[in-house]
Amino acid sequence: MDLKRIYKSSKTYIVLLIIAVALLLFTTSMAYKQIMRMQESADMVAHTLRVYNAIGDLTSHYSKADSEEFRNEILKNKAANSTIAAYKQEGKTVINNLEFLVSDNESQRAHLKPLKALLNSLYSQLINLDSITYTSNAVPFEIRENQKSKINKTLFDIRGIKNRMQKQEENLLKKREIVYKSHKSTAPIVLLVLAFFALFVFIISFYKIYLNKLEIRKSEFFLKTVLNTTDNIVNYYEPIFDAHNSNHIKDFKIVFANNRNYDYLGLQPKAITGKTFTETFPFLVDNGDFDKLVKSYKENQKVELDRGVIVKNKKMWFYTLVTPLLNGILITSRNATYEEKTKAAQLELKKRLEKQNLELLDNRAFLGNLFKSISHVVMHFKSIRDKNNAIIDFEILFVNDKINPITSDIPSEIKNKKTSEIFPGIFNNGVFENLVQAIETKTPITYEVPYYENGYEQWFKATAIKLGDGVTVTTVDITEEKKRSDQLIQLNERLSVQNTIFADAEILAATGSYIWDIDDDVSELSDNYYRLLGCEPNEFKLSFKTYRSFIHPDDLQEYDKKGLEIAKNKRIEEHTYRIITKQGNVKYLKTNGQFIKKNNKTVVVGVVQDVTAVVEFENKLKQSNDNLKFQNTFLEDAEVLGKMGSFRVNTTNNSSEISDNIYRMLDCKPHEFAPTPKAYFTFVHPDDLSNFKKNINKILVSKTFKPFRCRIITKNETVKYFKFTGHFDTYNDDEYLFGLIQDVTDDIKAEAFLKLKNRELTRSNAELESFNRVASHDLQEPLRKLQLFVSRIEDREGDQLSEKGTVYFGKIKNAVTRMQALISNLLTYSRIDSTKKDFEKVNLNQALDKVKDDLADRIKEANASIIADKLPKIKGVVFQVEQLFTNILSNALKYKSTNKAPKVQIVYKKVSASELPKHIIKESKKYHRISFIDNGIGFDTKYSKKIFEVFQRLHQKTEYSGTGIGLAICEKIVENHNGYIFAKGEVGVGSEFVVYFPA
Amino acid sequence: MKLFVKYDFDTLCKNFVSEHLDALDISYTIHSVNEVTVNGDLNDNKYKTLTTALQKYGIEILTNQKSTLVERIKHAIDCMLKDEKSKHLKLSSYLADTLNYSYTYLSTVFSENTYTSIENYAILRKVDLAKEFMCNTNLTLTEIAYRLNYSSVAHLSGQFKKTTGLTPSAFINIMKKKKQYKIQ
Amino acid sequence: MSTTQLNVVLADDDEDDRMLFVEAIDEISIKTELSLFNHGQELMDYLTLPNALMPNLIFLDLNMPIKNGLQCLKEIRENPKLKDLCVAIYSTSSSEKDIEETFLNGANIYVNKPHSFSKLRDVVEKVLQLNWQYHTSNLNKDTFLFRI
Repeated sequence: MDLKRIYKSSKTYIVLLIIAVALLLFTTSMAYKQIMRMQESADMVAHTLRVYNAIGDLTSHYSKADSEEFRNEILKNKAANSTIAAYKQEGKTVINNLEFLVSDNESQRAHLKPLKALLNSLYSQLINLDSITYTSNAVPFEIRENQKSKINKTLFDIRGIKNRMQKQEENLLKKREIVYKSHKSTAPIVLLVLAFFALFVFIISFYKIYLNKLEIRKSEFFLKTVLNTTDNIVNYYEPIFDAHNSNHIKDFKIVFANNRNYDYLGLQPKAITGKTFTETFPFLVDNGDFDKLVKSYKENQKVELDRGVIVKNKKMWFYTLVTPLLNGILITSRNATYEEKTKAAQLELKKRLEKQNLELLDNRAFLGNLFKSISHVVMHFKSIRDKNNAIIDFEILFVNDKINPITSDIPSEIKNKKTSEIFPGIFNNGVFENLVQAIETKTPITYEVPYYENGYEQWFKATAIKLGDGVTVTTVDITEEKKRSDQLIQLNERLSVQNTIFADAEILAATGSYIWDIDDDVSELSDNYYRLLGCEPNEFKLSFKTYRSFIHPDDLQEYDKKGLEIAKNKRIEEHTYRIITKQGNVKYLKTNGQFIKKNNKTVVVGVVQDVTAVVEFENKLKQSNDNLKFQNTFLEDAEVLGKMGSFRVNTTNNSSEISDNIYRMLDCKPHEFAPTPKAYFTFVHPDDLSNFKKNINKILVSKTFKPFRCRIITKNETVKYFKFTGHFDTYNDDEYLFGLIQDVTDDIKAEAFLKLKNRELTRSNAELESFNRVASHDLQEPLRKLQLFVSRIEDREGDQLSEKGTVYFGKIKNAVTRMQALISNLLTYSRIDSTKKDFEKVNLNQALDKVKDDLADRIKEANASIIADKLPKIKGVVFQVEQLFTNILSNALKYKSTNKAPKVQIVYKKVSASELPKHIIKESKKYHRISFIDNGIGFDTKYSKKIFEVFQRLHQKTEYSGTGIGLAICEKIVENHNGYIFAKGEVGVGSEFVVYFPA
Repeated sequence: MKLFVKYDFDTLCKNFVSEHLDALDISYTIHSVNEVTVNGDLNDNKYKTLTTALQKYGIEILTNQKSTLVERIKHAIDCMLKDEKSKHLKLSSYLADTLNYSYTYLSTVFSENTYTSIENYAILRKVDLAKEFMCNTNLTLTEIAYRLNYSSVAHLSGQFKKTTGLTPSAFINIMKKKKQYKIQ
Repeated sequence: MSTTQLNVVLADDDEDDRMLFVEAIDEISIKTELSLFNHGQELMDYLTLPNALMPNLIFLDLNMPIKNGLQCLKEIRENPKLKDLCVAIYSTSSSEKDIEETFLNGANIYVNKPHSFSKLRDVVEKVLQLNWQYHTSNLNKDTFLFRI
């Protein structure tokens, strides 16, 4: 904050303020002057007015004289003399007055002299007149008149002067009024402007001064804050001079003291302000600081002090700067107590370190001796870390001589080298990781490690302890110990493996073993024995009694008997009994044992086996056997019903078995003959025997059973067809041929029948085909000839025919043409077969186009219009669809109305299958509905079924040509496409043919 | 293996004729496929050799003036059908203008020599072109109809059916099957 | 070339048809030399003669004894000497199957035997004209396919 600037600027503002005051004074004086001048003008005006009035008085005065004269004359007042005297007096007063008023005006005064004279003459004339009147009443009139005219003349002169005077005064008044007016208007404006200007300057000055004051206050606050927050004691002293010797400073007065005084010295700033230096800081007087302050003030020099003081028994260090300032001195003291303390502490530390160093040297020597004397290898490694602070290597800081016999390294040579150079092996055998772990976890680690030197394996046990950022490793050769312990471990392992194997074996075989000391009734069971009982190994203490609780109640008697026998006769028999496990499961245990001598005692050593599965399996076998028996009877029934039998041939020993039904099929009783090949052959039809043998041989050689048939003659001499099927299988190391024989006589017969029928069908098909051929070619040929020759005759001899002949001829022609049309339509009808093999995708639009093409001539001829929606694609036979369209369209053209151009509308819509009649078998959910709507002659809807029948016509042959097959063809085509067609109509309006195709 | 080839008979014949003329050392100018001007006279020997040489391949030297004219008419019709600019013209006036004969005369000569009329021939030729387009290009019927100056597909189809007895689609179908049939 | 004769052959087992065909040929203006054969074998025997005069046009009935029309057609198309001959099938059958089969086997024209003589004459004339055009003009023989 630039205090100087503020100070300076405030000065300028004070100047400004002074100027403003001066201006104000000036304004006031100006205003006074103005007012005075105005007053003067006003006086002048008033004066003029007074003069004017006086003149007015004069006028009234002489006017009075005029009128008096008349009164005098009329009334002939006798007492006129006194009146004139009063009048004269009055005139005198007026003149005097006037004289006084115009004393400052030369020209007016000039007027007054003649006026005075005139007035005097007037008075005299008036007196004369009076005297005349008085002396001689009714005196000559002429004199009186003469006198009167003289008076009048005087009056006239007076009036003249008066008028001149009045004029002059009027001019004067005018002038003075103007002056007054000007004064009146200018004075206030000037005053106002000046006043405002002064006010403005005032405001600015005041504002600026106010701002400055604010700044100063801020600066003061800042300064105060600085003083209060600084760590230093800041005090300001003013000197107190000696009363006698004004040059001698006897003391300082504390003018300002900041808060630090309290913090460091326990002196409240407020309390010490205003007090003297000596009474506040008596201790400073003693150490000569006071003199230094005096010196600083006198010589106007900065002084530095650095001293310790004891305040409240506490030693404190202050570094003080004394700065002379204006008429006082500023003291700034820094509390350096802490710094001094630290310095002292450092010194102490140093001393202690030196001492420790000495001790360390001693220790080292001791250690060195120690390392030399011990058998361990002792090494110390320092960590080498990478950027991420992870340990990547070690530096060997120390290693004792014991390393030499092992690695043949010399300690001094490997010192300060990296472990990666000297002991690269530690990075592979896990030692490095151990060392790192010892450092990172700060816990000592002991590990064993092999060391290979010249192919000789040595084992070392090492302990790694963290020391600083490194690790101390103590290693000892344990090769021998290791060897011994390894052997022990191996032995142990082998034993445990054997044990496990034994235990596993027991589990696997579901066996357990026991040792039973009969005399003491103490038993030991193997773990698996316990498990067999559903218990954890050694879960309970075993005795005859405790074990007895596991025995199944039904077997208890037997068990007790056996136990007794063992105890008595020392004889053990193998036997099976049931137990109930802890979980409540029933198990069968087979047990056996023998007596042996153990520690001079006879004990039973035995084995139990869980034979539950075996027993259960036996039970199951029995059950399944029963089942099988049942199934066998069932099978026998099935064989009878299915006219079949089964056989089994053991190809290894050539024995065979056949089921009972085979006997029956051969019209024999079961087992009537021995099941040998020879016996079988007797039943085979002689014609098939060689084939039968061949087949059997082939089957036996190739080991594959190809089903075959052969005829059999039964015991009752009936010929039967048997079908043989089978397969090879191995059972109990013997190879078997399992097979089935089926009596297929009925099938063969049916087959033969079918074949016959098929042949018949083929023949009838061929016949039909040949009929087609006949119809298409052979039947048409003669007809065509007929037509040809008819036309030939017509050409050549037509004009020679009689009229009737021509008619007949025409009839022949018509008949032949009809016949021809009939044949060709029938052909078409018969050709629509229902085989679906030529179904392909048919674009109905293309089909319709083609049909329209084909019918183009007829369409044009009939002037017909055919309007079609876009049609879908369906699956069908192209030419059939075309035929369908042709027939429907040509129908519409044929049965056209006589008075309208035919119009056919083809409307397409995809509809749901439900729209079709119920009796139609729906092939698809959706159907294409295509309806052909024409405007032809139509028909009665009651005929809508009939029109689709072959040779059904609704019209006379002569009316409309047609064969009556066209719509039948349509129906057949639509049915062939799994569709549906129906028609409806109205006579005279038109008909609609609706075709559905599966979508 | 079967290969399918397409010939341009014009070029084929032109090249063929010019090869033979070259072989006989005859100087010539070919005006159109059917018209060749020989510079100077041909001696009998050379003429005979040329005739026999060409006859072997079914090329005849026409001696009859009228036959020559018929060929020129046919050629003119070909040109007209193939030329974009002239296909809109009326056939009679086009022929008369090109060949400098009255149409009546041309018509008579043509009928006398070919058992058919110019118009019929033109239709046949047009249909023939249509057939070629149908077989050898991927053009649609609409495009073919436009190229051959038919007013509509229906018009083309109608004339096609009338001339060949087959609808265009039936024809295309047969030709397609024939191609497959041949491959088999 | 009005002076040139057209060599036409007809193979048809039907005597009446042959007769009428001759009459029809007689009535048309195109100069023709017509040879008749009673069945397919006869025709093939003739055609395969070493110095046989090649016809310009063959009319072939389909339904013939000994050798039918389709067999003849196949043989003709397979014989390098004959394969370029123009063959018109002349048959009663109007079945699409027959028509397609003959076209696929190389027939140029399929004619349904007409039902009147005048039609027969017209048809024969038209076939002859067509054949003439295909012989005298550079029409594309690959697409020589007509049904009359």
